[in-house]
Amino acid sequence: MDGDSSDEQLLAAYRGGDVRAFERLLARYEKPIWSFLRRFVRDAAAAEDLLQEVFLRVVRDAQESGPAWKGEAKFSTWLYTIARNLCIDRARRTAVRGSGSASRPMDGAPEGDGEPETATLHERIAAPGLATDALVAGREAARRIDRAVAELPDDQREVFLMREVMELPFAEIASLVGVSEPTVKSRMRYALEKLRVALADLGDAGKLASGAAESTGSG
Amino acid sequence: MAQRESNCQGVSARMMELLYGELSGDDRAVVEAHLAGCPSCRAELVGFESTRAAARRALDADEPPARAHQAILRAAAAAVAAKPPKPIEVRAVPPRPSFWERWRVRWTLPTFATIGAVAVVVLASKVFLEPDKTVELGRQALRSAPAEAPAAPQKAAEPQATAKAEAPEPATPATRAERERKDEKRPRLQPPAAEEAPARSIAGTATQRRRVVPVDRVDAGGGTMKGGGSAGLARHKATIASDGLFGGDDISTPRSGAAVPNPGKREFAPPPPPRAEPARPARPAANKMRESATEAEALEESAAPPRGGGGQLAAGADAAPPAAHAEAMSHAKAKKAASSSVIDELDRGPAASASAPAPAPPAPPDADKEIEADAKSETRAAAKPLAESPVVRADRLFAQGQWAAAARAYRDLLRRDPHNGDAPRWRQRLAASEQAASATAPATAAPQR
Repeated sequence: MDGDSSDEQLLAAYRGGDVRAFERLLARYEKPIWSFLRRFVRDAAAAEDLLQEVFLRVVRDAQESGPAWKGEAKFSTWLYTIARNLCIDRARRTAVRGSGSASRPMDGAPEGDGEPETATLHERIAAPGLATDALVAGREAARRIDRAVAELPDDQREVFLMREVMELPFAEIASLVGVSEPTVKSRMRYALEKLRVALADLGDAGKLASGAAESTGSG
Repeated sequence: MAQRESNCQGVSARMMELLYGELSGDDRAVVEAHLAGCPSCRAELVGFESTRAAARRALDADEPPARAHQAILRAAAAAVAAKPPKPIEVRAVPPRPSFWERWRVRWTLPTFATIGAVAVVVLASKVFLEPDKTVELGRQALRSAPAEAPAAPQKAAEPQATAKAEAPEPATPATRAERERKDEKRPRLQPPAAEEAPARSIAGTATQRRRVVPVDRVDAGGGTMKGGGSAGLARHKATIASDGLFGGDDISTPRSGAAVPNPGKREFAPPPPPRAEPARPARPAANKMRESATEAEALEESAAPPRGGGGQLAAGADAAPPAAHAEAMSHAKAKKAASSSVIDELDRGPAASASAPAPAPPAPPDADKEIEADAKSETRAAAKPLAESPVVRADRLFAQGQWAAAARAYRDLLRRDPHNGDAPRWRQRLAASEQAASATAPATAAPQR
């Protein structure tokens, strides 16, 4: 199995007992699935459980004599369908329990950041100065972006995440969500406009975000 | 200005496709041309690109938790390890069969196929490769099939002729009617031919015994002989036969149903004819008659004066044979002569018996020695072939110089058929025989004296 092997070939190899083929599949889809789950359910712990559940389903299905995925659709589409359905099921269970976490906007920051949720990016970077600590500014910009995404309506967030994180074309998103392609494009446009407004008060949000990414990569 | 605004709405509608690279070449060129001349649309595109880039960078910076990654890999490896280590594949390969099993599987079918083919060839060679034999068998079958059908009436008629030969006396109308009634009453549980086989033997015996009729003579021969074992039994049988208790006449006469099948009557199909049974009409009857002759001789012996016995006969034992003894001897002689004559009749056949119905004449009461000699000669004659006719016998006795026997034989012939063409010759020989017998009698008696 070389690096150009398709998803279907890797899964077939794993069905034949090649664990490394599955490891390569996991490397391809673990990060986007995690990004989608974490920003869709807005709960890092729940997203981690769902991440394991998504790939455990793939593992179980690969060992079944009659697998659910028979190659009619793309493996990525099937995988994102599993993730989305798990998110919807969890949101329904949470709504029944009355926790309201599914509809509650994600707090943004990943676990362990230790930043107080009350402090805004402007407040945090205003004190030490914007030009003095670019790394902190970049992390703050990322946190603000996560919060802005979490504040998107569910249908817009879903389409935004599928397009940005999973890199699915609009037509496929429309098929997965069950709406028309123009509706998907419209939802995408609304999501980007809201994000632009949310990040406008940060000044040059793009520069901040890019600076944070560069500092993370160099550091 | 209005056209530019309409172009701006169209470009704005296609802004997402342009932003994510899903716009085709021509559309992309049109949109880019509009963006080059429209600062507001270009500013909108730049704003979307900046926001998207900022969001993408923030999303890409998020790494999945290593704990979940390891858990997933462990689960995947465990699933592969938990999967049966291909025992199915091991089972899929059957164990190598033994040499005997391989040999059996490999050769069983060809062996049986070869045997079957050889059998077919042998049978085919028997049937098809010997056309002469096959054709001959077919001809025999065709010959036997039509031959059996007309053979049945022949065989059915054969007992008729046999019965006629055995019983030349025509049945009276009353007897025939009674027989037909019995035939109708008797259930036909056996084919007619099967019934006729035993019927012939019984009828033959009964008929002959009735025709012999020495029973009356035996009865008349004296009450002292009634207890004589076989003679009494023979008489009893003869009586039963003559009374028809065995159905002698009924059976001996062939049934009309057997000879002419009644189409309106449900009967069995005629059985296959028996194998070429030659007509032996009088042979068993002749044997029976010889037995009767033997019985007569036994009676003759028993009628002889007992030696040292009691009673009236014992009183005159030392004296010459009394008159009673002579009479008994004469009766015995007569019976023996009658038996021999009947034997001759049976040997001759029905025609001869029909032409000579008269009983044998009583023997002349003269010389006992002559009688004994005649008896011996007759015994020798009885040993002759049974087909000897009375004429031939008389001629033979005459040629042998047995004058007394020859005279008696010619006398019988003349009595039976006095108008025969040979009657003059018989008379001449009778006279010559009597003369010779009278001439030889004193010569033989002289030395005894």
